[in-house]
Amino acid sequence: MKPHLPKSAGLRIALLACCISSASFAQTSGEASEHDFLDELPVVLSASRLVQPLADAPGAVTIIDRAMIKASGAREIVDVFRLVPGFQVGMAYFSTPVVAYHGLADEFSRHMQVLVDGRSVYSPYFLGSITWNSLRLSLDDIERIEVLRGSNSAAYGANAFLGVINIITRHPSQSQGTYLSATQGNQGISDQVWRYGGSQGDLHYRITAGRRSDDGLDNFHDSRQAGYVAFRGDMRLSPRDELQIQFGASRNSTGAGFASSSGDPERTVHEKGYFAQAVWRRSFGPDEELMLNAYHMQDDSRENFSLQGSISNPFPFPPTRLFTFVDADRRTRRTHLELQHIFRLNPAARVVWGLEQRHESVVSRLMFDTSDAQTTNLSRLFGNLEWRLAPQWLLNAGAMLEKHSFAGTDLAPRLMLNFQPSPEHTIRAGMTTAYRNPSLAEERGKVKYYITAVPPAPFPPFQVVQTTYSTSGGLQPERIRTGELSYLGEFRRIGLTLDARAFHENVSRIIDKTGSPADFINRWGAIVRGLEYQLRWTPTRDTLMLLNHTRTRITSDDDRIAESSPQRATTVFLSQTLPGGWQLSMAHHWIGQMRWLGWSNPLPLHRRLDLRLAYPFRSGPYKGEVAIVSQNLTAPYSEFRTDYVFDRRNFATLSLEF
Amino acid sequence: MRRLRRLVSLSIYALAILATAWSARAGANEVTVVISEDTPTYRDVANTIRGRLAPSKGVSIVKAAALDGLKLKPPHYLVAVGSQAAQALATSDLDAPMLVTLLPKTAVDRLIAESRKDINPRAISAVYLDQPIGRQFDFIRLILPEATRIGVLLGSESGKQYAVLQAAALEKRMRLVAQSVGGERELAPTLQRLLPEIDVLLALPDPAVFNAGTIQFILLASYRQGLPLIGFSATYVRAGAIASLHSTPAHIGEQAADMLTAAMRGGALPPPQYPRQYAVATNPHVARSLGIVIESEEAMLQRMRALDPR
Repeated sequence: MKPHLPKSAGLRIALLACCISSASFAQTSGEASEHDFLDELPVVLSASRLVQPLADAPGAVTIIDRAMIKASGAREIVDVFRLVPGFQVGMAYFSTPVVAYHGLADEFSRHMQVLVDGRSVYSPYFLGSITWNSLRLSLDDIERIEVLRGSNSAAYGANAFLGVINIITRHPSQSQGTYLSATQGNQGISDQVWRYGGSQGDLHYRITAGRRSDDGLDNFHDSRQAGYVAFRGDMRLSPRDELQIQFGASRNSTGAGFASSSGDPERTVHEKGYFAQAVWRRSFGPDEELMLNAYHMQDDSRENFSLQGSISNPFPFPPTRLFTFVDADRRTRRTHLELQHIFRLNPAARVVWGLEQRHESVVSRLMFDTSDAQTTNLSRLFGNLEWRLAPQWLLNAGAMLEKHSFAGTDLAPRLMLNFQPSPEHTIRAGMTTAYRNPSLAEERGKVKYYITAVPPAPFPPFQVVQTTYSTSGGLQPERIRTGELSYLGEFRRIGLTLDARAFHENVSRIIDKTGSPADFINRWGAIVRGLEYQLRWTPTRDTLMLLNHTRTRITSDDDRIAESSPQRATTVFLSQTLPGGWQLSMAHHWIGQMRWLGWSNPLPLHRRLDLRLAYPFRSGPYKGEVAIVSQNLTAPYSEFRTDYVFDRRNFATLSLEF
Repeated sequence: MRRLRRLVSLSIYALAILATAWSARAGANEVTVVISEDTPTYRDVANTIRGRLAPSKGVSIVKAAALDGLKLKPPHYLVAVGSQAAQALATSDLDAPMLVTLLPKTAVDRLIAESRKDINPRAISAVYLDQPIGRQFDFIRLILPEATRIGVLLGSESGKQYAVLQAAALEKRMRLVAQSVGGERELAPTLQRLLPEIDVLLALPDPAVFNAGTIQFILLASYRQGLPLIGFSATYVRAGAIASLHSTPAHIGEQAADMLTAAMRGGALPPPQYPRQYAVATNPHVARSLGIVIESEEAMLQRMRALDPR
């Protein structure tokens, strides 16, 4: 039984919503009367919309707001994570952004769950990865990003292995009018965004369309062009009910391959995809809410190419010529249905629980040696109890039971105790177990190249099958057991926040490939220990200072894993509003020696300095900003591989709002 | 002896019945409470008035829609509950002093001003629905002791209150930061200008600015800036305001009954007045999310009463 929503489900829900009369929600106008006092109002700040106070969060959380995204000088979302303690950010080959927390990551950063408005953007293709290049949103559409540092499968399921990134976009009522932005820079940087936000009765909506392109790194065939369009509409059906509809589509093309390689020739990968999502929320009050979230997404990639080679033969015969056609075209789909209920059990206890059902499929002739769709079904039941044992003690106890069609059934529990002796100090201690399910390719990958050999006449052509991956299956999910002790100091009077986390992460059953043809097995274990902290200081309204420092030590039988995180990393960030409204911000990173897993090699310690200077202006109904950003003002450094050199990037952005 | 006793007791009974009948006739319909609609809120006010007045004072409750054909015998008092009732009474030719309840001060002022244009103006008094602004400022200080810059959004109606707001703020040593909103289109830019300049946003009853359609935008925008909204009714607290100080229908009803009692004794209705009693509603979830520690509703009410002993 497949819990498969039809492709047009989102659309149908949208149409249904439009049919529901909203007359009951007519607004009063004219003179003040008792109706202003007595008539029902919508529950705007509903339970799921509220940001949990850091002191109550079951773990370390970094919140990146709009101001910070802007000040960071980020051109794409991944740049922002350079400001989160414990994170590593890089650009792997073929312009693939990679984001990791505490290492253990290769070019497919698959140990993290990334959600955009509750929609997972984790791609089930190949080893599993985050499709950072096709998120279908502009940075200006983001309201805030919540980064949950540490495992959180209890609330977010498998893949929330080493962390969760929650990207929350702005409510359309907050982005009404027209917004235009254009960025131009060296290395072919050229980005444009157009957005229009409007309203119609109780519906607020926005449409964003954008393009991004750059030439990638010097000396590599990795230029990328992306175009996207996205729609979000939020409609009040009644004071209690709210419906959110989102659609988005994108088209990317990215350079891949190497000029000198016969096995990996230069080519262009064309990707296109879309998604549709509907979220219905019913608020029964400020502390009870029912939410239904349904989405469907599909991504297609076109990447097929011919390879030619030759094998020399004994004299005087000419060489045998080899031909093969690589069909790396693929299609991935995901349909997800989720029900979540938040309610208050009693004045001291709050419960969140829910159910999820997910269906994923991948079609890839290259990966599975068949055109048949490979499917995964996932059912989840989750719950979390937030229980204030005493005014100073808060217990968060949660678990997720997950049934995966080939990884089996797992229970991921989490227990976190927050002690807040005074409003300034919070100490958290807790432990959790999380999983990462094997990907379809790890479980079922069969990669075979059908090579046609043409020997010299009079010998007839023949076919050779070369198998590079042949998986035996039966993988167990990767598992991580985390113990953490953290401290949060919030000294509001002086504008200072200190967030420190000491962690002990025991990772087992790490899946890696071995042998020839390669098979995936649960191969490694690793212990990740360390301490990270962030000091955030806003001495005045115009100044923000951050100091991040991370010390991580990984021990593992595999040397590559042991080196996959820098032992030390430090970031200093400063943002200052200058007289005349000018805004200056600066980020300086020192990243210790490390290596990414996968097709990479050790990278030496490097520094990076980013600078941004912006001038916001206003003229009549027009509001705008001119900004210049220089990324990596210091010497060029290597990202991901030593030969992938990140040189200085300069760009200027002009944005207008009216 | 026995017969005599029975006779006496019988006549006492008869007298009692007669007296009751007489008093019921004489006082019959001394007060007519006109409710705007037959909903619990309006009924609460009416029932509280009836319950608090001496049982001898006949109180009848009438729906505004059923006002036609009502006959009155003076001396008589009319009580309007809500705007529809007040309008209906104001335009009727019933001749009796009128006590208006459940209307904000601006609406009462307008009603009085209009009635003065009549050839034969009637006596109008009121228990306002809204709180005196000074009390709201005291309440803000209680919840947010460090907030000094009070933001308000003024529409065409609340704009007229600007001088009153400013005076009250000066008296309470707070800084009023006011921005006028010309129309709904202006709301977004106006709020963007206002929010960075204030510590707290105080909602004022003016449907041109605060209504079911705009509250979402206002609450989301202020929440994003980490700024709390103080509402003027419990509905605002449900929507996402951190707290409100407001009077309940029962509070209003009690005060109206006391004003009627005074009038019946002294002949004239006391002048229009703000509610004496009030309640506090809080939204601890939103407050906590904004990093604001608030006390329980009861504790806050006690402290408010201590500030404002009456």
